[in-house]
Amino acid sequence: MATQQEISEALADFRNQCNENVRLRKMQRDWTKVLHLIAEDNDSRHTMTVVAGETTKVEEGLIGMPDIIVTTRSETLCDMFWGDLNPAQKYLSGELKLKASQEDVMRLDAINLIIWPD
Amino acid sequence: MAEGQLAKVIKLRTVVSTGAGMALATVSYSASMELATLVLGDSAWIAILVSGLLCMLAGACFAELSGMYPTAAGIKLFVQHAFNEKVAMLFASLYIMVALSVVGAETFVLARVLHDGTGLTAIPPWAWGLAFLALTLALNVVGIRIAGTFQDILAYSMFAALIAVSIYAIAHAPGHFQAPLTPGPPASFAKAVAVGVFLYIGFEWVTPLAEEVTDQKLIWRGIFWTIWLLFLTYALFNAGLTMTMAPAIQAHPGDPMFAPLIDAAIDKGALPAGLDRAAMTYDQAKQAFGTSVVPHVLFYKYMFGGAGIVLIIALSLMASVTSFNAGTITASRFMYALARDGSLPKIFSRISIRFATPYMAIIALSLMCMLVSIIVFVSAQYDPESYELFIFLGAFIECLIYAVMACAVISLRRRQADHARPYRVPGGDVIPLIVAIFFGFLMVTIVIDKPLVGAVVAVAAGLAAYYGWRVVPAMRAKARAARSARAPRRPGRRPEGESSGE
Repeated sequence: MATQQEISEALADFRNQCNENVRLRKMQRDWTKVLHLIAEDNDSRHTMTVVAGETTKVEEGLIGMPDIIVTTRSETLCDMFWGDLNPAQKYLSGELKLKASQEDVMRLDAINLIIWPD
Repeated sequence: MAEGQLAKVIKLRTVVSTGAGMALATVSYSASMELATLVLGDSAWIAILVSGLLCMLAGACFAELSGMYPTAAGIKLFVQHAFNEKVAMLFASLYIMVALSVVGAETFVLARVLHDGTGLTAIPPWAWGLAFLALTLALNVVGIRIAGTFQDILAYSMFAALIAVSIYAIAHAPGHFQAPLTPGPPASFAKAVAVGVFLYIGFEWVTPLAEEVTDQKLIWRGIFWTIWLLFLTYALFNAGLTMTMAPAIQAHPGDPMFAPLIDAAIDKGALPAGLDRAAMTYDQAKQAFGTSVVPHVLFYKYMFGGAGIVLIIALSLMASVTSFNAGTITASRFMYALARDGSLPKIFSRISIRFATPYMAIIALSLMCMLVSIIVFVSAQYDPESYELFIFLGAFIECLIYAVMACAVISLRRRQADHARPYRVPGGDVIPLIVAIFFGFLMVTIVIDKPLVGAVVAVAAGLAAYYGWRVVPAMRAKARAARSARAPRRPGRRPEGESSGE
């Protein structure tokens, strides 16, 4: 089980990867969202804020009203944000649960694909 | 703030507009007339009601599964958990085939509406069809989608107009209801119910919306109201159509609008060769009218002249746009997810940086749609009503999917008895069993009447099974090898399969 600290580290790395990726920033230029990341096997909760494609904040706890809610096991969250895991596989197996519009679900996976192409 | 609440959630009215908008396509008008020719008098409403009630029971099964797994990956995930992944791939492939067969028939009928309605006969129907598909492709690639309030306005305007015109037609019809309670021989009635299922195809596409609602019971309520709205619309439309047009044909069999229809019905054997046109019965007139690919255009033209044609073209375009838009967007996202999952070639997971859309999945899906449409147009050269085969193909696979979903409900109640179920189909396994048996029976009815449908599905299922059993595992193994060759980025990450200390 990954700890809150481990997930925070994964998210910090993910934030850097996102903000440094020119292609991703271009694709997400009109994407402004609040994401809640919930680990279902412990108390780990995070909020990520994206403004016009830039990941501006990653905070511990659930802050504000989210546009997207990601719920899964803490290990999956951690591996996913380190880029060691294909989120689409977890999503299609039902282990990764999302609350969001279809468009945002696809964008979320596309972010992963652009940062870490297979 | 409660955990799990979204800033923007979909409301019941949008769930209903999505489901009903998906189900009501231009081809539905033609299918509705096809259904009317299978029963006596004005009893089509009974077949529409029976198929609607059956779809509602199937919808209850979908709602239970969707509550357990609220995801856009829907059908694949339900079957995967109830049976296994290979079976899930098989049914996911067949489900895409439903979409393709509907698109094939839909494009054909819409093209005929635009060709016959606009009077621009220099442009052949196939050109109208391909132009519409190309337009849909372009809109999807650039990411323009009809959603939210605009979709609600579009869908509800369409239903309101259809219902209002139908009531007007019934009120002004020259005669009364003809035999509204006697549908006729059971075999024909069963076939009418099977065609009726086609009228509701798409209502279950509300399940991908499960990710956009916070109360999963909304999905069931959405399905319930979607079916009732569709029943009301189709039943009134059918009554208005037959009560207006059958007496008109009886009264004016020599009219240039009707004479070719009577000839066509005689040619296909629906009416006797030595028919006394001046003494046609109500049902014979209905048979003649049923040969038209665009009965709704003739109906509106007869009712309102040029204004009616403009109105029905607008309604047909709205019906096609609402169906195509939601259908192609959902199907292309599903193809993208399958490609990312390693179940389809990686090329389908390519993303447009400019528009943030899965352009290769959209292009591939659109090309498949075009191919099916071309097949429909070519086959129509030999048999003008061959597009009906695609109606039965869609209905057959949809019956199969509904039966499998019912079996999945029963299976999951045993395999995952403790899994949370925000909605549970009442009455134990009775309703899922009824759904499995009735839709299985309808499949048999369709295959007996149209053996080619069974052959096409058997070939498609064989190809999909080969793909799922042979090709996918090989692709997955290759992807796994590539991934394992890459060093994990996570610091101190344990090798796969090792306990993480839980």
